[in-house]
Order: sequence, then C-alpha cells, then structure tokens
Amino acid sequence: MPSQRTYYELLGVPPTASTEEIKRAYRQLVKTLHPDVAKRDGIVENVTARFQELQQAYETLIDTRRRQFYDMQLDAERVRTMRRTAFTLRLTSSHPHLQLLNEPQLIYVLAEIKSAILQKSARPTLNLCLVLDRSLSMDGARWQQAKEAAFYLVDQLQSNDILSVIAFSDRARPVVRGQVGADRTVAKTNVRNLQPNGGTELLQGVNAGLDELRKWRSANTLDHMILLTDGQTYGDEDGCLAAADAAASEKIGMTLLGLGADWNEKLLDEMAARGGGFSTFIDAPSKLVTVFKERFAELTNVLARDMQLIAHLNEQAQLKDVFRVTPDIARVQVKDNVIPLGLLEHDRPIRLLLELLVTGKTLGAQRILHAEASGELLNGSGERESVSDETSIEFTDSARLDDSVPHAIEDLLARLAVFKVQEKAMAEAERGEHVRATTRLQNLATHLLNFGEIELARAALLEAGELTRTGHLSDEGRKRIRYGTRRLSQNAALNQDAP
Amino acid sequence: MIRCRSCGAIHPPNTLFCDECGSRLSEARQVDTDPLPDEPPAAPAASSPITISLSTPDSVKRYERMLDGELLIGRLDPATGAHPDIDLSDMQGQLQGVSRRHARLIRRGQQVLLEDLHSLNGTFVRGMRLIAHNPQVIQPGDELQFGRVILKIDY
Repeated sequence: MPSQRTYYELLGVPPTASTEEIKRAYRQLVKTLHPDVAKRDGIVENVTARFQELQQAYETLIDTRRRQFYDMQLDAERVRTMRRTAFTLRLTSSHPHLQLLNEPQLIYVLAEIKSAILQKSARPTLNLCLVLDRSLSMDGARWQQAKEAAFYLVDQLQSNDILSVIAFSDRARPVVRGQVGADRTVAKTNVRNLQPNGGTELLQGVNAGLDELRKWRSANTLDHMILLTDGQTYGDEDGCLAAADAAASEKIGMTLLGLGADWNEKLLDEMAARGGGFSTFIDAPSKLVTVFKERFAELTNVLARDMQLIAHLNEQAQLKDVFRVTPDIARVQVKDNVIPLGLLEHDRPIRLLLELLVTGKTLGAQRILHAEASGELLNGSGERESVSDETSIEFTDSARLDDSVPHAIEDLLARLAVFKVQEKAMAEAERGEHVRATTRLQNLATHLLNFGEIELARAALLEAGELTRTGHLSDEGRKRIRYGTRRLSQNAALNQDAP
Repeated sequence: MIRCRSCGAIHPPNTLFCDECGSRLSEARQVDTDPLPDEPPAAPAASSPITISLSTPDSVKRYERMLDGELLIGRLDPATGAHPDIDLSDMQGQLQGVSRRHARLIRRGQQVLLEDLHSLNGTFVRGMRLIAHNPQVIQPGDELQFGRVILKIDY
C-alpha cells in the first residue's frame, strides 16, 4: 500500500524545494534511519520499510524528469480528493513566462482569498467592546454622535451577543459591563449620563477594553474592540503596541477610529497592522454613525478570523514587497514569511499583491512560490482550515511577445503605485524635504484626477501649497490623503466585474 | 534594468509601474538613451482624418491641421532634426519655454490624446501638468498649455 504522505512530506521539505535542499534533507534523514544507526539507537520498528520509502522519495525528487511526472500525479490526486473548503486561495502571476536574464526581474503575484460558502449560516456571536475617548476635546457634537453610535450598537445586539462599553480619559472605567442578554435601557442610560472631561491616555482605554473582552472570549465568539479617539496620546505608544500584539495573539480583533485631525494616525495604523485589523479617519462627527453601521455589518459578515498567509519562496525568488489591496490598500507586516490578515468576510475577498524579485538559473518551468492561507472558522467548531496554491514560471531563451499582464493585476498595480507615491510624499514631508514632497504631491494630484478622485486630488494640491507656504502638511490634509488613497482599490476593475 | 521615462528612476526588468512617480513603465527593457529618438510612423487610421484647430485665447493666431495618426508640437530646429507638425517658433516659442519636441497629439479612434514628450517646462491640460509619456484624452474646448504658450483646442 502506498504511503499517505507525499515524497515532499517524507523528506520534510516544501514542494518548492531545490535539488540542493532535497539532498541536504535526505542526508540528515538518512543518518537517523540507516539500518545500522537505527539498530544502535533502538529504533527497530519498520526501519527497513521507512528507509526504502525515503530512498524512493529521494530518487524521484532529485531526477528532474521523474519529479515533474510525480508533481503531475500529485496535482491530479489533489483535484480528485479536493475537499469542500470554507474559503479558497488563488494565485495569479503577472508573468507566466520570463526570458532568462542574468539579472533579477520583477514579477507580481496576486493572492486572492475568498469565501467558498454559498449558503451563509447564522452570523457569528459577537463579543464586542466599545472603547470611547471621553476627553474634554470630545465635548459637543463629537460626544453627541459618539453616544448615538453607541446606542446603535446596543440596538443591534442579539440575545447571545455581549457588549461592553469603556469610557476613558486619563483613566478608564467600564460603563456597560458585558453580559449575555444585557438590559438595553440600562446600557443606554449609563452611556447617556457620561460627560467628557480630562485628557487622552489611549493605553488606559485599550487595556480596560481588552480586560472586558478577555472575560467573555471563547472559541465561538468573534472578539472585537471598536475604539474611538480624537486626541494625541503621549508617552504610552510602546505600551499600546505591546497591547495590540497581545490582542493579536489572543485573536482579539481591533477597529480603530480616529475622529477629526488631531490624533496619531501612525500609531493607530501600526496597532491595526499587528493583528490585521482596521483603522480609519472620520473627518466629521456627523459621519460617525454611518461608519459604525458599516463596520458592524462587516463584523457580522465574518467567516473566519486570525487569517494568515504563509509564503514559501524557492531560492530563485525573493520577496520585495507585499501590500494588501482589498478591502483597502495597506502595507502588511511580514514576519518569517507569515502575513497576518485578520478577518475574512463572506462577500469581501482579501487580496494581496506580492512583488517578487526572481533570478532564473536554468531554462524550463520552476515552482517559485508555494502559499498557504489559513484561518479559524467561526462556525462554532473553532477549527483551523488551510488551503494552498502555487505559482510557476517558465524561463525561456527569448521574450514571449504574446504574454500580456492580466488586466485586473495591471489595474490594481496602477492604484497601488499611486498609494506608494503618497507614502513617499508623506515620508519626504516629514523629513523636511519640502521641494521633493511638493513635486510628488502635485504628481499625486494628476494621478488621482485620472482615477476620477477629484476631491482627493484637490486635497493633494492644497497640501502641496500648504507645504510650500508653511513647511508643514496640515494634520487634516495629511489624514485625508493617507486614508483616501487607501480606498483607491475600491473602484478597481476587479471589484466591478466580481459576481 | 529599465528606466522610467518620466522621472528617470531605475527598476528591475518587467516592473510595470514606477514607485517613484506612479507612471506606467512602457515596453520592458527598452532603454531611452537618445534624447531625440525617431518616432515610429503613425498607423493609418481607419476612418477619415479629424480636423484639429489650435488657437490663442485672443484668437489672433490659429493653427489648423489634419490629425490622422499623430501631430508633433514643438519648435523647428533642423540642427537636431526636430520638424514639428505644429511649430510654435512664431509664438516666441523659445522664450515662452517650448521644447523642440514638446508634446504630441495622438488619435485613437474618435478620441484625441495629448502626450507630453518629457518637455522641460511641461504640458498642461485645464491647469494640470501631464505626466511625461502618459497620453491623456482631451476634449474639444480644452485649454492646453505648452511651457507658457496657451492654446485652445477644437475639433
């Protein structure tokens, strides 16, 4: 009977492994499995059989011909036994063929993670904590709308959902204690009686919020913090990042909302990135309730959490850059080839663009990337599901003129390029390189106009003028451009022709 | 290595968009070293040519040309082989910052596009500077600016 494990698994190498890596792995394994050594170490069970199996795997994989044939068999096997998974991963490469050159070339790989569930079951049970900044600057319309937003959440709760509310300024205090089937009237009264005062100490709010969430979190609940702030926090930034890391490791998601011009967008974005969370800018209090409605709808649409993509590259490829491009554009964190992606929703795929530098060594097809997407399903089982896909490149001795880059990739790249120009302009403005930043902002405005983003283009031009006059970007303009360019992918060709 | 034609940044082969200026990088590995390259002959259009007129805001000066493939706008300079279809020398082109090979009008079907040819002082449409080598669709009545020369287009 043939072994259930693939030759790659037997040797403990990824399917993209080079011959060199396979030889190394084999030598290591042979040392432990050689009949003589095994006998000495007291491993007697099936040693000969295992040794033969390993030998067969090795001989197949180091022979290019035989390896190709074996790979084909594996693929066929995978198609036959394909399970019905909750989500799928598909990799699309910008260049299936590359001319063999003696310098690194750039290719783009679009990774798309999508729900495969046709019939949505009940929405996940929520364990929500709303963390409200009640500092003095919130007084007036901001506070009024923040309370309205809180009331909205209270009204949306189903009987088994949990909602807690924390108000923080220099210190934090629970206003609504999370409990199943809480009394809505009491919850609203408690929120209504709050008055703004004091300063903004973000860490106080974050920690109190996480404590509430931890009390109720379970494998069956979607544990999530929604934080609203309008002010700068001072001195506790490192603590906030550590708290965000802790939340990520406990699979607690974060939605970080900044209201008005005077809050630290770098900190909030960084906190969100640690766990694949969401952060955004709200320019006027009147938009608060709408943002809460949208976010709530997204949270109730979640299919899996703690999503991540693991990218294994073969030795000819190197990861240059990775961006999430939908639902919105953001730089993602890559640690040991693992990219945290947060929540996957039913109707909004997660798409990443990977930029790879590839140096071909020999003619012929090469598997350069093996990617695995995994996440914890929120169907009550708490099980982790994982799917994978691969990208190959065929190196040819002359350029293939008939290859064209898929339109969806090209369109996304155009939008991403504009986002990157924005990043550069912001960095230059911060470093005091005003002339370069101004030129870049003007250039940015032209691109934005081409995408029909008239408001955003105007903001970029205004900031170019502001920079020339005052030597600084305005707090508001900077945020408007930063968060506006993130949404550029929402009108991408890919989203429009999606069913 | 390939070079971005609009900002000069260097990228690995096959890069599609320039990170520095956001422009689409044209044909892979085609490096522009000649400052005044010969233009490829324009493809013949399927239907009849479009009549283009460019006039100064005071309507004193007016250029009328047939656009069938493309029209080069610039300053005549036989020494460097610049023979523009629309020669702005008679509008004090040099003083007004017009490059020898400043921009070109391109016909695509019934659309008219304007492409800046990496001119020194820039080409503007409705007040926005074009990114070099990024043709833009223009409309009848648009105000085009080459350096400091302003011309209204009609067709």
